[in-house]
Amino acid sequence: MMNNKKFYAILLATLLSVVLSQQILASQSFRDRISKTRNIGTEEIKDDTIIEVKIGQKIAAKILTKYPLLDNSDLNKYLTVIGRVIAANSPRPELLYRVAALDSNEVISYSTPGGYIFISKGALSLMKNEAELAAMLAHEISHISHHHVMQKLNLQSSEAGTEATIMQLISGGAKDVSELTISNSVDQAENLILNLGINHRHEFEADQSTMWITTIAGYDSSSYINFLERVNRTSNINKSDMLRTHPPLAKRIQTLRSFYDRNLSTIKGELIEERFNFYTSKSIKN
Amino acid sequence: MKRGIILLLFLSLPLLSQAKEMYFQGNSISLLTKPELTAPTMGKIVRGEKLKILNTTTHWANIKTNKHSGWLLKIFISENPTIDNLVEHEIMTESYMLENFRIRASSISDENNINKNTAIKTTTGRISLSKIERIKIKDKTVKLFTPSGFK
Repeated sequence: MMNNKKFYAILLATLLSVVLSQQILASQSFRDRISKTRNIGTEEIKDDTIIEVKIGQKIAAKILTKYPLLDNSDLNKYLTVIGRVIAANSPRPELLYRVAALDSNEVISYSTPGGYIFISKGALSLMKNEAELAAMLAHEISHISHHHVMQKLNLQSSEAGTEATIMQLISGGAKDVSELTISNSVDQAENLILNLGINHRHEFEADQSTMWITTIAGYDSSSYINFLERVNRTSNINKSDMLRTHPPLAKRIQTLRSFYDRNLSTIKGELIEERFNFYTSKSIKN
Repeated sequence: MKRGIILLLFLSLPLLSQAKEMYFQGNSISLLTKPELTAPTMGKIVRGEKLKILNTTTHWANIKTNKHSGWLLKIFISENPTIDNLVEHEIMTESYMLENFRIRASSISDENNINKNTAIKTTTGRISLSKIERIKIKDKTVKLFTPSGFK
């Protein structure tokens, strides 16, 4: 028979495990983490989003110091329109997404918090249609929607100051945030995006969201798999950055193929080659 | 017996916490009668609407709002409320893109045809490609993308 002491010890242990499990769940996302520290309302989320956009703008500017923009405003407008159509069908349509092409032959694409997306000339030149472009943009928009970079910034902080910095950014609101604290976060985020990558779990999560969102927007989501397969088998291209910051392509393709077969193979979407070729031919197909 | 009930209540705390109110994050879409994109649709859910999760699968949640119930992709659900668009997209009948689509497509001669040719049949009432021509991209939006800054 269990005595009172033992019973209450078990009860306490149970209570602690419940509390701890809630804490772990809370650390799974940027917003969830914030919600454990205070009640989040619309105004707070708006403040957080403004800060996120500020950080994203600065990272975008840094990316542009590494890769020049492709000088083709028609193409950039087209990319932005497709990006906004995808975003309108995503879980985060409230941001003002901007998409631009980078004048680089590497096969790369980047997104920064707040809605800034870059896709390289090298990546565009490997694409066959608008569905493939839409999927690539959906992948980047998924990272933004899931707060992958902001979440990583928050959780991986090893320096004592970083946690405080993020919390200061969050709790202070846009007006109180110093440029210095933002720039600390920007440096970390830039390193994550350009060098370290986010993490493999988040990349697979973004890949799956990509498939849903492109399908919902009306495109053929298998185009995404076709594009990745083409990147994988094309040997005379520079894809080192993509390989360094993402899981192995063969593994991604295998996972996506299985996901597609289980969930989306019966849905016929659009490819749209003519419009894609019209906007990309001047700058890309040469 | 009494102790058993108390223990059971504590163990059920995580389950109880899952029943809290959540919010729909995307633009307005129709709920589905089963967890498949091609399933028949039910009532609509609008951005920011409160919902409760009744059941889940790997990717889907069976949810209930004040007005409707049905299936929804889990990626569109969060415990946080939504905010309005930071910047409103300007919606126009005539726009830069529309003009360019007209120039581009020899087979397309008027707006009706453009919509017909670019519209996608969606099952859940989402924003489809037919809207592309009506989103005006302001010049300054793209001009922000310069190495000199984003002002």
